[in-house]
Parts: sequence; structure tokens; C-alpha cells
Amino acid sequence: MMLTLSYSNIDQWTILHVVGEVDMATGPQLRQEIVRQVSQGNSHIVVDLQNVDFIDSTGLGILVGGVKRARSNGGEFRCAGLSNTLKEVFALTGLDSVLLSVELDQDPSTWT
Amino acid sequence: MSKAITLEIPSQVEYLSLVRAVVASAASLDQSLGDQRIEDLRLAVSEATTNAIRAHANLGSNERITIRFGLEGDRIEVEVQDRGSGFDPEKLNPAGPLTEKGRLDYEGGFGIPLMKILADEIKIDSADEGTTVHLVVYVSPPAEKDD
Repeated sequence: MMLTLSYSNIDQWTILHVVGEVDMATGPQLRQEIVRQVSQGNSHIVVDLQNVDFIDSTGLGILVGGVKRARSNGGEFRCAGLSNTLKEVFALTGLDSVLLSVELDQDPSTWT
Repeated sequence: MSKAITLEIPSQVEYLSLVRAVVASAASLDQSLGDQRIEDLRLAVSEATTNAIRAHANLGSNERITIRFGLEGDRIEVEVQDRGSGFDPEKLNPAGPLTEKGRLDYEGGFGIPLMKILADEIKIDSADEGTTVHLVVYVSPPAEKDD
């Protein structure tokens, strides 16, 4: 199972579009892209998960690492497009307490 | 286990999606199990299999991992068996809440707590010659969970 990653930009934000399943096999790709974006100075990141129907503990850890990396570089890390299943997993693990969810069709000024 | 399926996979992460697909398909054979419960089971089994693959990787072992699935009356039972070096489940230190200072420095700590939350029953048998994780999901969930 491959993970497909692409990105777009809105204002200061980099939107990372993820398609596929995030697990121990595919997660390193996502981590690498987050690291790459932050190292290029793009520390305001929204991970678009609307085409992701599965994230395991490895993926959750990578998102935690994303929050840490973005904040350490003066930015913010958000997610968008959560399915009900992902919302449940985020709530069960407490990830929703540090990784805020935004609506991509709303004004980016509301994402901070 | 009646209506049992046994799957043996190479200890490689590329097989995780196959395990999830088989478990979800097998669980959906019981039409009384809701989609959300199938998702719960799919994630719990994936976590157990991930841990098994890690256990083999730590040993440099090429042994295969066994996943047994059984649909038995009002319950689905899954066993994930590895031949790693084992661990003491009682000695696992749970990671603190993500809002705790310094917790964001650590990406791990989600796997076993997730399994405990998602499965109705979990038992971990671990010894020097390997670990078997037993997961049970009730087809008709009990009115209340103990924890």
C-alpha cells in the first residue's frame, strides 16, 4: 500500500494532502515530508487527511512529531478532513488536545 | 475456534495492509457487527501485528507471524503470535497525556493503549520464546465495559 503525498499553499500555510493508509510501512514517507517542509521554513502546516481512512499508532506518533517540529520552529501544525473513525481515534488517544482540526474551506486566518 | 482463519505472513511491514484487509473482510461476514466495530478490530489487530513485526526486527528474525481469526457465537477472537524475545506487559510504563510537558518529544506509546481501548478483551501472553496477543470483540457489545 503506497501513500501519495502532495502539497499546496494558502497564505503562510502549507497544506499537505495525504492519500492512503498511514502505518509503519508508509508512515516514514509522511514523516520525511513533514521534516522536509519544516526544514525549508514551512512551519505552518495543515495535514489534509480527508483521503486517509486508516492511521495506526505509528501515524499518530508522526503527527505528534509534526506538532513538536512545527512549534519548535515558530509554526503551528493542524489537521483537516477527519473521518468519524479518525475523530474517534484522535479523541481516544488525546491527540485532539494538541492537534487542532481546521476546515480547509474556511478563511486561513481562523486556523491559528 | 470454529469458522477460523489462519494467516501466516512474512515479518515485513508491507504485509500490514493485507492483514487489515483479511480481518475486516472476515469480520464483515457477521452482518450484525457494525462498521465502527470492524474498524476498531482492524486497528487493534494492526497494532498487534505491528508490535510482532517490531519484535522480530529487534532479533533480526525472519520467522513468520501467525494471525488466527475466529468467529465464535457472539464474539470474534483474534490471536497474533510472534517468536520475538517477549516482554513483561506489567512493566510497561504508560506514556502520559499529550499535554504533559515533554510528552511531544516522544512519538511512541499509543499502540498497546489503543488495543486496550478498542478491544472488549485483551490478554498478552509473553515469554522468552515469543508473545501472543489475544483480542476479543463482542458481536453484540455488552451494555457496559469494566474500564
